[in-house]
This record gives sequence, structure tokens and C-alpha cells, in this order.
Amino acid sequence: MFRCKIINFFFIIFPLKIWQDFLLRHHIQKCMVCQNKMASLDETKPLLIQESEIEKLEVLWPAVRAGLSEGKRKERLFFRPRLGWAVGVVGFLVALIAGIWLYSIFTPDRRPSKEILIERFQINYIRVENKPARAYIFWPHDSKMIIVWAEKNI
Amino acid sequence: MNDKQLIRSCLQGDVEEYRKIVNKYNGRIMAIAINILGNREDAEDACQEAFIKAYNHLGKYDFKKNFNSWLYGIIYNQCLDKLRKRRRFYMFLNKIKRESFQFTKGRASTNSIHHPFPKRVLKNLSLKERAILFLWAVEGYTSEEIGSVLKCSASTARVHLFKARKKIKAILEKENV
Repeated sequence: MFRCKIINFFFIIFPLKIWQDFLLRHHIQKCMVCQNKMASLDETKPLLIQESEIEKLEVLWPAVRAGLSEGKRKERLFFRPRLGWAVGVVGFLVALIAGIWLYSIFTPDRRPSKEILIERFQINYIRVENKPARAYIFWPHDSKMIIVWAEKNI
Repeated sequence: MNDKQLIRSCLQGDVEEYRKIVNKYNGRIMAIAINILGNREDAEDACQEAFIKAYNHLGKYDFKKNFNSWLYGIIYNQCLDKLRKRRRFYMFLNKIKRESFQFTKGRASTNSIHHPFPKRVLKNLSLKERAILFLWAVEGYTSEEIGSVLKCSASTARVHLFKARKKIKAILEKENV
């Protein structure tokens, strides 16, 4: 009796199905005291509505039959929401690709301005008074301005 | 013609053969639905929807398994669905009731939609417990079979069955005192 109470306590305190099932299989189902705390088959059966108590359902088949033909119609219509989804997904992808393409076209080059200037500004040859001259290029820090100083070779 | 032959005929498109299946199983299916839902109107709706669903999914039926159990699985899910809808409806109704109360001083009432259980004791059990109790007491299913119908493990089914039986015993003892 005391053992049953302890097992019942552990059954309640740890509501894990595996644990509860373990207690059920190893004690409760074998113990007469615990069995007496459960409703028996004879006590349970009269509480439930059984097939014999139910009036014959004459109207069920016509209703089911009508539902079956409706179901076929639904199957055919089932294509529509799927098509809608497909159109939606394709539309989204097209918009996404177009967006990326437009962004790549209209976005200014993000490379550091120094790199761009070096790439674009180039002096191959400089002459002063028809003679080759020295060239000095000044590029003030953090500026897009470039100063070219040309000097005669003395 | 046995069930499996009837199902094969249905799969070949013979809808009229399905009538035999419906007529054969409607009593059992209705019984479990009434026990779960607690009223005949909802149970009839659930039964009708379950048979339609079963027909539409006959192709998925595994011929190695018991057709009866397969149908019970469908009706159980249909009852769950029905209860969910009913709950939503009650919530909506309660909202209306609350709102109308402010204007009509509580004239609105939900008493007309209250469906008492045919057997009062079952009211104290959860939906799963009612279904398990039916399968155990009426159909004589084992925990493993109950688990396969309700898509849960045998141990879960055993625990639910134990709890349901314990609750019933407690209620019956209380009533007898």
C-alpha cells in the first residue's frame, strides 16, 4: 500500500510518458491495489455510446455521395492556387533579378577614390618648350584634386 | 465481397461500391464520433467529412493494415478539426455576446448551443482519452493498436488510458457516495 502511494507520487511528479509507462508496466498493471483505482472494462463500457445504440444513418450516403462529386470538382480547382503560387514566385524572382541588375548599373563604383584616380589619371610623356621635362604629381590626401608640376630639365 | 475487394473496386472508379463500405462502417464511426464530440449533430458532420476524406485518400490506404483502424484514424482527426472549429465559433460567439451585452444588457445567450454529453462522465476526459477509452473498451484494441490509430506510441496510449480509467473510477466512486 505504501509502495503504491510512493509509485503514484513518482508517477505524478515526473510527467514523462516513458517514465510513466515504465511504472505502469512494472507495477500498476500488476498490482491489485492500483488496479482497483482504475475503472474496469465492465464499468467503462456502459459509459460509452456503442454502435448498437445508434439509429441507422439513412441520410449519410446521399450526403457523402454529394460530397464525393464536390471533391472531384475541388481537385480540378486545386490547380488554381498552385498556379497562383507559381506565378507569385516567378514574379518575385524576376523582380529580384531586375532589382539587382538596376542596382549594379546605377550604383557608383565603390572602390576607394585613390584607386579610381590612379586608374584614370596617367601621364605617359610630358614636354616643356618642346623638350622632355620632369613631371611631379601631387595628390593632396583625401582630395580628388591632382596637381601636375612640370619642370624643364636644366 | 470483402473490404479489400470493395476498396479495389472504388480505386478503379466505382463510386457505388463505396456505398457498401459507408453502410458497413457508419455505425462504428458514428459511435466513436459521438463519444469524442459529445453530440450527434457534430458527429454526423464529422462522419460525413471523414467518409469523403477516406474516399479521396483511398489510394494511400495500406492493404496490409486493418481498414477499420485506418478509418478510425481519419475520424479521430476529423473530430479534432471539428472541435477546433467549434472552439473558434464559441470564441466568436462569446465576443459577440460580450459586445452585445454592452448594448442589450445581456439579452444574448449561448445556452442554445450548449451540447451536453450523452454520458456525463465523459465530459471530464480529454478528447484523446475519450478516443482511447472507446478503442479499448468497445473495440478491444491493445495499446499498440491504439497508438497506430492515433499516431502516437504505445506507451503514450497506455498512459492516457490509465489516466482516463482512473478519472472515471474517481467520478463513479464520488457519485456512489
